[in-house]
Amino acid sequence: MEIMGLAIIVILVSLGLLFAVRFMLKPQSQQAERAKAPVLVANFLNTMLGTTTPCNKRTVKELIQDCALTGGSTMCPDGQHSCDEARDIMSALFDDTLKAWHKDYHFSMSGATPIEAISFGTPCTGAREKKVHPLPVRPGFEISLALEICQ
Amino acid sequence: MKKAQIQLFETIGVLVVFFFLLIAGAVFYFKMQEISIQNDLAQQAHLRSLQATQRAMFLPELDCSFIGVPRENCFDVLKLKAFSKVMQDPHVLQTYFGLFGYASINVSEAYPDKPFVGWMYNNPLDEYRSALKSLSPVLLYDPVANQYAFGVMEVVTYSTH
Amino acid sequence: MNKKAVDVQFNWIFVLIAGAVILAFFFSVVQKQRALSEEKLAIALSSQMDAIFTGAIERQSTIQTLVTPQPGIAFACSDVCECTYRIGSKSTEFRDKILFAPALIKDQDALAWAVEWERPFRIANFLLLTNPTIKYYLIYDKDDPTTQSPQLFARLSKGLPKELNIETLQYPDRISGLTPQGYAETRFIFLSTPQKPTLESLNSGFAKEDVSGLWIDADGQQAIFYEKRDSGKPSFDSYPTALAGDATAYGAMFAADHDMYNCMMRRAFRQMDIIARISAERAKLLQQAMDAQNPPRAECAYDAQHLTGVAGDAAKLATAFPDDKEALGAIAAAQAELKRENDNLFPQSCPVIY
Repeated sequence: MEIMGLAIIVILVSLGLLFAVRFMLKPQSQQAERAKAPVLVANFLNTMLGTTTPCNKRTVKELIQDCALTGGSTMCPDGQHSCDEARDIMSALFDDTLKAWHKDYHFSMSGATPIEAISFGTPCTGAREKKVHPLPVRPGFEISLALEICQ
Repeated sequence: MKKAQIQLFETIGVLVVFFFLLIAGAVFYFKMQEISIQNDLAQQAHLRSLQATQRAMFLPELDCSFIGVPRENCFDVLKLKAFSKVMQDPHVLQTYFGLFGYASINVSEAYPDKPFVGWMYNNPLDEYRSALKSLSPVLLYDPVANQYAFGVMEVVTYSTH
Repeated sequence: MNKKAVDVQFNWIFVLIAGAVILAFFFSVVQKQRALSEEKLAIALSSQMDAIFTGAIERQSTIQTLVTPQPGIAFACSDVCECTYRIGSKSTEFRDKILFAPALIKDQDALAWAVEWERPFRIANFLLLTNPTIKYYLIYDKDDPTTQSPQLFARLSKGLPKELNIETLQYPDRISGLTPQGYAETRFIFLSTPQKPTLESLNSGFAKEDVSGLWIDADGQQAIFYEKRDSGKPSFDSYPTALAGDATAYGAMFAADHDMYNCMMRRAFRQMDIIARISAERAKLLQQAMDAQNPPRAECAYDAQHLTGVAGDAAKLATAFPDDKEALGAIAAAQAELKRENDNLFPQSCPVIY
């Protein structure tokens, strides 16, 4: 009888060990890996806004500001107005970087009607790393740029 | 006599079970330790990759500065070209080994044109077990044209674990 | 009957011995595990501290609080410039970092502060570490304008964070009147005081304390470290060294000893060598670009020779600091020349050197 009891215990302990090993073999969350995402989002926005465009050597930031303020009254040498120019350049940037890197993302702007029409990607449904970048257009008038990278 | 023999077998049985449990426990424990160490090593590798990216971003050798005022997240293209040239000195490469270890760092332009700008640091491992790649957007400043391009810095760190 | 009684006794003895063996076995396993865990912890802490130092060194001007691990962090540089920090039994090299820290940071959180070293372009960030258990006495002579002591004090104290444990004393207040306050370490910093300090006059209570001194000259170009000998009374050895800007003065204030300071400065000059070479190469590329403009921009002239000279002198100091005074002087002169050149380029709308 005691032997049977011991045998049952051995079986239970073995099963327990099996489940524990299986659980431990699951990939652990990588803190350092997750730390890269917010850096990427912040760097991307800062870099994109600082990029010089062929539109009279204005930066993307200046084109967005002009689009928000005037609805795109500034014309670029290629015949496009500032809103379309900003949209085309941002589209090219997203395609050549985040999309090429197989990262799901969503970019949107708010605070003025002309810029709210410009967005890229699809909103994340699950975990994401998001940064909202406020951009002053003139004193008292500020717009927001939001970029989220889905995880 | 028979009763004594049965008693003896029972005792042996208990001892066998006991040692079986002890050995199973020990094997389980060492397996856990091995998994834990592997996880730690993987974490270390990711941390090194993150550190290498961070250090590369803040190098004074490449920063865009105007009369001593630096701009964040920006590389001067001419400094980058000069840096690639200076890095050909093995002593300089050795100096940066302490900073980057076994890694390859290159910078390329994504907008407006797409010329490849240069290797910043190239010291890969010949035989490696894992290579972690990290891509970071960075502004590329051309001081001659006074313009900023959208660049991408690729950092690949190599590990034998 | 006797045999049975003996049997029972032997049984008990056997049980006791077996029990003791099993207990001893598990006890030794626990001890080994404890030692292993402590070592693992020390390794993990060292790795984390490395990452923390890397982060701290990039964040200039703001003072940051770093959690000090329980065993404390010991910093040391050998005379052959093997610089390491140790947590428990685990030693880690400084590697690329230029770090000035006391010999031991313990008990309270460390204060970290990064300062930029420019000569005249940015070369590196120095990371300065201390904690509230270390007391600094700044001594200057406010009444003697010839020594420039008040100016030096005003300049250096302006840059020191308020969180530091600093007290100002007026020269010639007698430091011999001071008594040990129970600090882990005490450093006396003399800012261009008329006479070299005589720390031997310190109260005998300091004989068993960790005390050191630093004297900085008026121009901020020279300094002398005073390090206590191991003896029954406060007696000190002096070690002259050189400074190269306010950032290096701060480095000297926080460095454990002259070895750490000199080693870190050699590392800093190694960095200067590389950056000067990059700047020289960049200057050549800029000149080519300006010459290739249509029409060529003759007003934008770049002399890479100055920068190549700086690189050469910095390379010498990367091994010979602080002994090569000529190289130090040449770099100081080149610094002024580079600034002048840079200032001339800016009004012409030419790309600047730095």
